[in-house]
Amino acid sequence: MEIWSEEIRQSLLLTIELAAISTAILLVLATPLAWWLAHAKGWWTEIIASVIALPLVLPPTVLGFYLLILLGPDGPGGWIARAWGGRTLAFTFEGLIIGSVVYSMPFVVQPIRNAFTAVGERPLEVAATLRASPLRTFWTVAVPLARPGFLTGAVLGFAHTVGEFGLVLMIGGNIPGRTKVLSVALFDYVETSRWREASLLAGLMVLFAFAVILTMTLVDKRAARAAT
Amino acid sequence: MRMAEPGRINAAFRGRLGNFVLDAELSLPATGVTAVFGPSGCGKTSVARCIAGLQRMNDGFCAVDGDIWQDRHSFRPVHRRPIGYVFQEASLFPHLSVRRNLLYGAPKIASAQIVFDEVVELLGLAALLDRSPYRLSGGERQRVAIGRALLSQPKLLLMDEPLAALDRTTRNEILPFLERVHERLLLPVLYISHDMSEIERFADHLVLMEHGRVVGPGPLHTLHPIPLAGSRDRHGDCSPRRKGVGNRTRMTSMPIDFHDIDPNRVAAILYRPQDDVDTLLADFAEAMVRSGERIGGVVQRNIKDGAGCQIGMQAIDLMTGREISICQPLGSGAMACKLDAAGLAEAAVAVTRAIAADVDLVVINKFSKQEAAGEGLRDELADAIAAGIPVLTAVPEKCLDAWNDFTGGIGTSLLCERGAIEGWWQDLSSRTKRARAARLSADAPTALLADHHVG
Repeated sequence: MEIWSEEIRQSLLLTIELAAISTAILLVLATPLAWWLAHAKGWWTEIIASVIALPLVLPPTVLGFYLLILLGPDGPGGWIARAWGGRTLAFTFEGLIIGSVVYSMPFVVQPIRNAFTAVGERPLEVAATLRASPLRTFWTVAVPLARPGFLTGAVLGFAHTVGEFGLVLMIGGNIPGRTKVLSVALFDYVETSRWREASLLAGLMVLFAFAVILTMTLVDKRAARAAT
Repeated sequence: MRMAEPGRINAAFRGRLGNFVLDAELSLPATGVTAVFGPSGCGKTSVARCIAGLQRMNDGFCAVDGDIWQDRHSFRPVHRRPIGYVFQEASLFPHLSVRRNLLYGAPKIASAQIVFDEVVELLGLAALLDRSPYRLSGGERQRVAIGRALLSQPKLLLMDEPLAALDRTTRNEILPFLERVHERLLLPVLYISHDMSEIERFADHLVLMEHGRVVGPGPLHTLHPIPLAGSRDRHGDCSPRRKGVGNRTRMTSMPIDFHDIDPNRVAAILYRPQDDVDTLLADFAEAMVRSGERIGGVVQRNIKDGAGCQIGMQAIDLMTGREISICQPLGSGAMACKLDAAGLAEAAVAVTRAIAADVDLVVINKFSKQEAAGEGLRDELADAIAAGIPVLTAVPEKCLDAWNDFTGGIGTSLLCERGAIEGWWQDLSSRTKRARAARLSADAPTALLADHHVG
């Protein structure tokens, strides 16, 4: 299998690493955000929700452009990079993670927020009347009951990070082993007319997408069955 | 009344909830079951939620047994209040088994007063422990919810229409469990309901609410007297709570041997919670009075408002037609759901007068929890039976054993139907009249003879 080159292996590993780390960070950030959005009542709630949802409709290049400026040597990203002697976060793996997190945030926040809303106030009230502190209520009642939302959010966040292209190209470039993920590698192969590698990657992506959708359908079904 | 008193629940909440204005103030004894009664939307649930801390009224005060939970400066969050709350829907945690639901609020230390095994036994949960809440019936779920609230070791149990979401059959299935809980555990309970028949079954005190306010004492009278001091040495199957709930501890031993009494003269209408035995008995007795029969005793009647909704009860002396209707005010619109000592005395006088007049039938409604425990009109019932006068009373099914203990098993039991009562009475009165006629004709010569002797 001469087409299974070191190059492809590297891109694949990089993609998985990026998606896994991004998903972990996404879950950590999205959970309190979703909780707050599900329970806050002020008018500003929907404004924050809209800001988080922006990447859904913005062209990835627009987002990429702003992120490039923010991550660049003159933006906050540059100042952060200086902490470990770097000059910029643009065109780095760390920069890609930041970009992925921003880009995939709505796909993770929305299902978790919906799940928290679906849990409702009553189980939380019941827990409180049983002497459970708000923290214990959150971990032992809200999170277990919202589990399907967490699963959907995690799968969507992971898949969406794997599939991003425009943003990676804008802020990550195409550096093998550092920022050259599968979607960019595919573009590269097509550019250089390496059709066999391109079709292999495209086929892998189709399989992956299929697996993701199937998993989510099964998770939804199981959640629905458990609720009857 | 915004002060904390030991042994009492003091609460006052004033404010707006949407379009609804709540302005409720109550002061209740922190013992026994206090029913909060009123039409839907009158603010009963809001009061319970405010006491629990689930709803926060800025202008509010709440103190339980001298412990301040809310005042102008402080608001203790729900999870720091020692309450148990039973919602209308069981609201079990669907991701936990019955056992883990029950143990969710139970303290880890073993010094608990209300122990797991006792609650499981009390509520009949043993067979359900490892099931998922999805696999329980509505009644079973509510029983688990009650058990879960009890195991959190509350100092106050708030029950917000715990039976309202259940159908009639399920409600009747769960009522005995609820009653056992009230009887066995020394726990003050605030029981929210719009159903007077539930309230009548357990409540010791009553709070009436209307349009967000606690209204003054309304027409609420029943034949359950308040306790008198004394000591108790035995109790029947439906005995009251082990102790506490005031000092209802008077007990009388039976003064006579019932075996001498014609068993058919004593009749008990056995009724279930859903039977309207009061109206049945009152209708029967008042029809008898109208037709000129010589009967005496006490019946009780439900008082309904214009919409046919039951709003209270009233006792009637059958010989005089007098209404006995004194309720015990407990402050701030709350009152005892029973006759006070004076009312009890009046009811007792009504029965005693009937016995003295040697009426043909004494009706006493009824022999229930209090009488089973040696209180209420137990002495009067015993006097009437001992006097050999036919006695008609009503006994709830759950008190049947206590009734049998009381009468030594004599007497007959009747179905809760007008026909059954009339049949018993016709049969008995015809035999009584025959017997009397026979006695008169037998007595007459003797009397003459006696006169003769003296002469």
